[in-house]
Amino acid sequence: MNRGMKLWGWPMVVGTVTGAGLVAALLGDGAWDYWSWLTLGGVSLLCAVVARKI
Amino acid sequence: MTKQSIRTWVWLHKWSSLVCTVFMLMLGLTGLPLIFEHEIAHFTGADVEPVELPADHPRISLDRVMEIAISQYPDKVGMFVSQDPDDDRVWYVTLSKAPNLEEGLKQVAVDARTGDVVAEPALEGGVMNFIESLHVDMFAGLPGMVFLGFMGVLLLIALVSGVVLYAPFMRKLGFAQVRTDKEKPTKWLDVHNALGIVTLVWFFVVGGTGVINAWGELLFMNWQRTHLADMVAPYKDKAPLQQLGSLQAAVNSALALEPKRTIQFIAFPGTGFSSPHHYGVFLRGSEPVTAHTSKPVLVDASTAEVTASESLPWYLTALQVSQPLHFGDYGGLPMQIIWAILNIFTMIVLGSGLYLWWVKYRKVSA
Repeated sequence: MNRGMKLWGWPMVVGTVTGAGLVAALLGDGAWDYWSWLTLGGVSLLCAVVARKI
Repeated sequence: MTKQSIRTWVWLHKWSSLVCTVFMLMLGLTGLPLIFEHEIAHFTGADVEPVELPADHPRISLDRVMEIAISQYPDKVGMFVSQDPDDDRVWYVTLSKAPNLEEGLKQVAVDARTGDVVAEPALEGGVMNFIESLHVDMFAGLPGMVFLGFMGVLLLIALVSGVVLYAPFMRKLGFAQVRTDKEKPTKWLDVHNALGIVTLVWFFVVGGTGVINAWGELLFMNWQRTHLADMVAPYKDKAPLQQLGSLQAAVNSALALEPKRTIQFIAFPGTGFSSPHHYGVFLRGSEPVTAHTSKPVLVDASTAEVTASESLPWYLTALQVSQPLHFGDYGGLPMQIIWAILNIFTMIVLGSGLYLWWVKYRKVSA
């Protein structure tokens, strides 16, 4: 894995997932909402994992 | 990246953050209860609960709704009439001494079917209105909004400079790694960087849409000065209306023009959303994508004829689309809870940044 991907790979994945979650619930209800909850909930969970290390 | 450019970015990150952090912490704290505004209103009994009736129960006319609302405050006149996007059983009538006077406003909630006055929501006073005013303009009106908008721009600069600095500071660490075995400042630096990069996109979107909202009043004033002025230009030299025509007839004309839309709000003649001769009927789309955008239809207040209608310019559409992305109120209660959680984590990012600056400042001063 090159240095750039090592450094920016996960931030890009998290950023894309967040963006998808933010947009999804705007586009529709039902499954779109579930997708938003899943993706943004995942980001929140990741924050909680980091915060546990405090 | 050279040492000089890193120093420049560090300077930019430090000062853009320092200037805006206190305001951002205030906005984060006041934003938390605002995320759950409807739930809090429900819990405290301040929300409007109309009686359950069959869905096809006949509705009273808007003219009757206005009569009922004004009978509560006979010294006031109509300013706005609106409906919740997901509940058309209640009309919210805003009354004022004059249509262009924004002081001493009263709101009367009238059941659209029975004509019962179901509530008189307070537009001024109360804890939630206090929190909202602090969050929106710090009780300073338009200057307060513009100032908070500038603070938001500083936040965006801090976020961008933070991303630029992420590489030189994190290249030896894994993603979201926190060196728990190191001293407290190092540990907090890692937490700051990790939470900052994880919440980056959410924080950028909420911050950016906050700036758009803060400057929304200016955008709206521009629309009034240009598009709205053009739409009502033929009425410029007409004598003031002595008596308003039927509101229901005006709404019927607007809905006949745009049958797929529903009413967002109606502005009475003389408000900033219409002209002295027009009802401004603002219609929202019925699809999830268009539900947050509105289209104004200007209806002659004496003849109920539609005289002008055009989509809002892109900057007001951007403002309307940005609102749910700022409030987090577009995906049900789970979304609101996630919004609150991410809000708390971004406050940790802000607080840890402040702490790191303080530690460094004390070290340099010692």
